[in-house]
Amino acid sequence: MTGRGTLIVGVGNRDRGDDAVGCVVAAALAGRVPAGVACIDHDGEPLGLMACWEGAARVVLVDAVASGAAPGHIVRYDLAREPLPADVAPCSTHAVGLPQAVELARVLGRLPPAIRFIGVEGAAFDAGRGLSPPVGEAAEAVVTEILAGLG
Amino acid sequence: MGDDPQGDPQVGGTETRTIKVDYLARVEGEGALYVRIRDGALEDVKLKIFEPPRFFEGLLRGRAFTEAPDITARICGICPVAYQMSAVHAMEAACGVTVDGPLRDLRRLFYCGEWISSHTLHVYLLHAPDYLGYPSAIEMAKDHPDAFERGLALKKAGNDVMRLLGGREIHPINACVGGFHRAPSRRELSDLRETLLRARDLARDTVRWTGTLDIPDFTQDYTFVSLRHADEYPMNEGRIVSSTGLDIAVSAYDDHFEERQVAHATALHCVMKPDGGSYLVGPMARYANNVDRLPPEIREAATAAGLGPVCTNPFRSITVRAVEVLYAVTEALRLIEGYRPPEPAAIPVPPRAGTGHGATEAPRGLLYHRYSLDDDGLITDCTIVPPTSQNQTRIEDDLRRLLPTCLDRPDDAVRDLAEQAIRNYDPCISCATHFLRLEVDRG
Repeated sequence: MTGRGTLIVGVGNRDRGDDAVGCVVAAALAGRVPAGVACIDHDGEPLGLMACWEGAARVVLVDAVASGAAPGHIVRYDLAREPLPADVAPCSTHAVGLPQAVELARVLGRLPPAIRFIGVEGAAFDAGRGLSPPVGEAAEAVVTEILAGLG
Repeated sequence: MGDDPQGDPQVGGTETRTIKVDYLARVEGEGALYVRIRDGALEDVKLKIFEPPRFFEGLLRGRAFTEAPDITARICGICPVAYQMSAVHAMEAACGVTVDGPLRDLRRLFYCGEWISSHTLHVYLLHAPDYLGYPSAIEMAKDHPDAFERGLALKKAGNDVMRLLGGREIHPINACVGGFHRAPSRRELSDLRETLLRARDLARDTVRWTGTLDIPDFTQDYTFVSLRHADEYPMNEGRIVSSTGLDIAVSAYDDHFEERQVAHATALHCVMKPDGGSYLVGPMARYANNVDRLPPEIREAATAAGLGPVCTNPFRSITVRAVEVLYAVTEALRLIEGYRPPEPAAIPVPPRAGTGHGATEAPRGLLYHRYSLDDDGLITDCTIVPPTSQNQTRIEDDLRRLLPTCLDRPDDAVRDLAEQAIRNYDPCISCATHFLRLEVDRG
């Protein structure tokens, strides 16, 4: 990311069922966002994540979560003010991921000035499956919400 | 990582305690380690992998030979280049085509990017906290921000190479059977050169820095297995050699190595034929078998950081990875220096019936692919052997030798040491089939 724009990061794995929700949201936003807004996919690897938001003034991270809530339930956190709660675990095939990236960036002074997290509760994370219906509906709602926020 | 100590009933007249750790921290993927201790003695160690296999090998049957590089790149988010490279080499071998010259150089440059990126992630984020006594990278970063800034910049350089050659950082899409869909311009590579020149200084500092870490004293008698090439440190090509005298063509892999199914894991465990012994692939093996292929200045940096010509202490593997990062940055600069855009970006590879073998050096070690094709180039059979599958038996062997030295320590200390021993190998459980818990059953 160069310049001081806005970055939408869809975190997840497109091939792992509802873990794809962040990528699906980022793909749906691409081409519909105003100038100065970039939309990318990311696998959540911490150093790569920190590098991708370098220079961005505003970042929105979208990821699937597994907290035990109903599938499709949407949670929102202002990461510039608080860490992700421990019971909101973004899904990751890696033992280190998005929460570690955010806290590492906070320690190193590399957190963007504005950074929000939007999580969608997933139902199934099997390889090769698409989004489950409630998560698909939530993805559309998140797209609408982000677009409204950018307006 | 969850921790759920619980008391078990009396077992066989001995009191038994079980400690379960839901996830091994700071390894790629998830799985479990089961350790059984009876009357103060280690009785059993099992590395348990419980996620169902991904059936990639089955999924590839019936697909076109040209699809394998992009499909297999999805097996791992950390080392997709390795999967693409082993796949393209195997397909080209099956079709009787050799890709040489600038295209070969570009592939090597692509691989350099992945080594830089993957090793740097492990050195700084996953492994270094063990030596400095921190529970996590975040805690370590509070006291060592400079180290993390170095790691961040170095990894970014690797990612930049991967992005340029691969078309994107995650799941690259630009490599193909025969070469690349698009070759970069000289200008694009010269932009990369500036980044890599800075990265070379950071890589030198990283080697030095790992030499200052307090490394546990634990040496092992390894059978090192890696590629070896006539005149270069191996990435894409070479014969498969071992420190015990094996020297075979890649196509003879199946005659000398065997994947065995074990009850406690969904990943296959690899052993050498005929005696079924464990072996090690990865940075320590590459280094031991190929140290004479490193440029003198890199060998000097390794020596100054306390590394001999052979490293038999897995806890010192952090320095070997750092040396390989320095090599990869240096090699990337050399390749960029003489770059002429290949024309065309990919040579034609007409399909034909046959079997092809490919083995390349993924950051974690030898990655073997074998494909059989029909006349139309459709895949009829496929075998993929990732490095972590090959190292699992060896990791269990390490733990059998390491854990008896610390059984008198508290459970937490035993668990920490076991986790650290596993992290020494940077296991990518995601590749090996995927995802890892730790259970200590102590009597």
